Amino acid sequence: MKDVKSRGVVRDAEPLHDLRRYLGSLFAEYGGYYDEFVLADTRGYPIFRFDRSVGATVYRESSVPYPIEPAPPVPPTGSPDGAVPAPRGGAFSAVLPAFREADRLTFQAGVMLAPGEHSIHLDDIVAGRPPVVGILRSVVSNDRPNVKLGYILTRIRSDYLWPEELAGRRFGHEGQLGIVEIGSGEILYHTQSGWIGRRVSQVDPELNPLAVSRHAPSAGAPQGGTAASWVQVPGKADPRVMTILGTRSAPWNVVVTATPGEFSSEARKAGLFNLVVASLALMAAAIVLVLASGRLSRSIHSVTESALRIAGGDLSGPPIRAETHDEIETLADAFNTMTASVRRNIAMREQTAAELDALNRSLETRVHERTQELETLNAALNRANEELKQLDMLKSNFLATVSHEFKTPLSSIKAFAEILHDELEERNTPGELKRFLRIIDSESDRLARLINNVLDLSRIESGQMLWRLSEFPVASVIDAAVDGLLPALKGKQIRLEREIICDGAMLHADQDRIQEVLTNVLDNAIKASALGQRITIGCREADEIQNGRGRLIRVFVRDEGQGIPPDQIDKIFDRFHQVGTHGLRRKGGTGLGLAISREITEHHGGRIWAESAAGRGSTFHITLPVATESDLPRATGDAPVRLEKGTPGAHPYA
Amino acid sequence: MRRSASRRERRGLTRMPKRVLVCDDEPYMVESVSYVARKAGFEVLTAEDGDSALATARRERPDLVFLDIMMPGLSGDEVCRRLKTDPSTSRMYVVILTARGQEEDERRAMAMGADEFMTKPFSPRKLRDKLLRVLGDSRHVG
Repeated sequence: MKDVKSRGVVRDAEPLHDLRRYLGSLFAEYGGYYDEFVLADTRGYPIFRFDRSVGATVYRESSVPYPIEPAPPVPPTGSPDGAVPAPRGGAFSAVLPAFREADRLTFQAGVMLAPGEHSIHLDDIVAGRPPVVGILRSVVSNDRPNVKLGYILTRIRSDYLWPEELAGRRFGHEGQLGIVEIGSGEILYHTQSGWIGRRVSQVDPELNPLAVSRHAPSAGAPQGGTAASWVQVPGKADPRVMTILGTRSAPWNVVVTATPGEFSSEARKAGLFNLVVASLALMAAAIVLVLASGRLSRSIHSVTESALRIAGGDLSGPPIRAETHDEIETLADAFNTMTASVRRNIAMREQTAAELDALNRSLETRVHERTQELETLNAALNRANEELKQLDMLKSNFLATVSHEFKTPLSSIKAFAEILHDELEERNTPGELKRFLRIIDSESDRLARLINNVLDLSRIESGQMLWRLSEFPVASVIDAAVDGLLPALKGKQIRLEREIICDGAMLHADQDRIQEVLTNVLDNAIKASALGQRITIGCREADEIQNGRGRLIRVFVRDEGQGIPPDQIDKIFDRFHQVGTHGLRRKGGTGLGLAISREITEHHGGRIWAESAAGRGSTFHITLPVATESDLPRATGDAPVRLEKGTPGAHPYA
Repeated sequence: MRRSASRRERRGLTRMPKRVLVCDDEPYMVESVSYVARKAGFEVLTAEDGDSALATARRERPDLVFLDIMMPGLSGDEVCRRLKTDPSTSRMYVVILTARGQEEDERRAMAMGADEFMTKPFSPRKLRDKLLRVLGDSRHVG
């Protein structure tokens, strides 16, 4: 400071009695004092934007544009002489411009501002183009000056401010114009664009001490006044002249330097003149910048407050009154229109919402009732299902237990009957007593068979039966069945004929169970036959073919007995069925043999049926699938498997 | 080798009849099996529950044991397993004689080391034949 000698101070305030008039002339000259302002709440979410080229935009609910009906065009306002130009597009635009990311960042910076404080910054800094000046001010409530209501961002395109001659001309070869942030010395704008963003101390250290300190107008000057200092910069052979413009509130200085020695006498005049003009213009620009932000925030405070109030959801306030005859009034009108529209809108929505709410409540009640009914029903179903499962398990357990319990006394009966029989035989007791004991024995056997049959049937039907599959010739199982019944065949002097014309055909099945089927059927035939009649047993290839599978073998047993009445022919496979008075079931039968035979056959993928004509004997047919190549490796030693009934694919070799 | 030596030894020393242990919780079952075995010339021991079956078998060292599966206390399976895993009793011939004739019962019994699986009702004649086949004709011993 001590090296810098002040040449004088220009007070700007004194000649400007009527600030408004002065500013009005400036607006006329520069085309207006702002281009855009944006209002945001304390979170930095936009509420309202006014843009000279677009018009007004109302945002609602964070940054999501809230669609409102376009307001009628606002008539241009402003003084008829055009001192204050009317904003272009002064109506709500139907197409809402997206909130700019740059604005969000700017507003986020607003958090740093104390209530009522403002910051000035340069936006859109592009080399070779005048920057846009942004003023961010935190808006406070009139009642509570310490509470921030929101932020207002004012943007001013600086090409309005920098006069043509200032922007286009240079100040000699060395003359420069720059805007320097007070304190930090950061160059916000400079005619030498490479300097923007650097510090004065780096690029022109000689200017630094003055450029970074505040040059405030005197205490008596009106707020927003500027002070200009003319100084000579020492330290150079050709001394420079520097003008510094400062204000009370703007955080920058406008610094202009020139080297008077450059100018020739004539040119010097022009140069000096230019310098003076430039300085004055700069002074005016600084005034505009500062005053515009101050005036704006004052003038539109009520608009701002209303907007914030509306953003907070309160639409009940009185209309905004602004009689400033400029775009503020336009804004106020627009706000009022918008508020009314929003109010109507909200009223309609509230009514609709109430109706919807009522409808919803009634629906909810009904849904609730139905849900409860369904839950009750579901619970009942679950209970029933659970009970059924338990019943089924009980049944299985019961059958297993019962059969075991039956067998125990039966074993004793049978054992003692046989013991007695043998004792009687040893003592040569007459035949009749021994016959009685044989009856006890055979009836015990029958009871044991019955129990086994019941158990088997239950196991097959519940899918718990395990089948031992192996590969064997059809003929062998036929022989085995016949051998087992030789005593009965002999006893009735039956002539047995064989028609084995499927010799060599192999089955892949549970051999014991297939033998059981054939034994049952043959046993029935023997019982149905009269003394000395003929029974034919045989096998041949079946006429039918199993679905999607190989050949079927048909085993048949034909007798010459009394036959089965047509109305009984399908029922004989039902359990405990007895054919009429001259029944198929005679002594020794369990009434379950055919039922089990059907289950066994069908679980192997085959079929069993009977043909008969009363008085002309019956023929039983059993079809069984022939083993295929793929069955061969599993011919013996297979682990027991579970089989599904009937369906072709269910057969293990399918 | 050892087994045959032991047999000879016992025959030579005692000339005692072979002994059969019948285990079943059904008294009539025990009685009928015992009768058949005794009539076939064997000495008969009995037990009516699993624990006494095991105790008697360990104490008396019978040549053959009939075991019911479902008995109070230890099951027949378990008695069989313990006898077969103990070297001093593992040579006993164990016949499971049960009313539970399902394959899984037989599989389990065999897995426990049983030598034979018979189901009730049984034929006394077949039982006698089995005894004679397994133990030899005790009546002609000595």
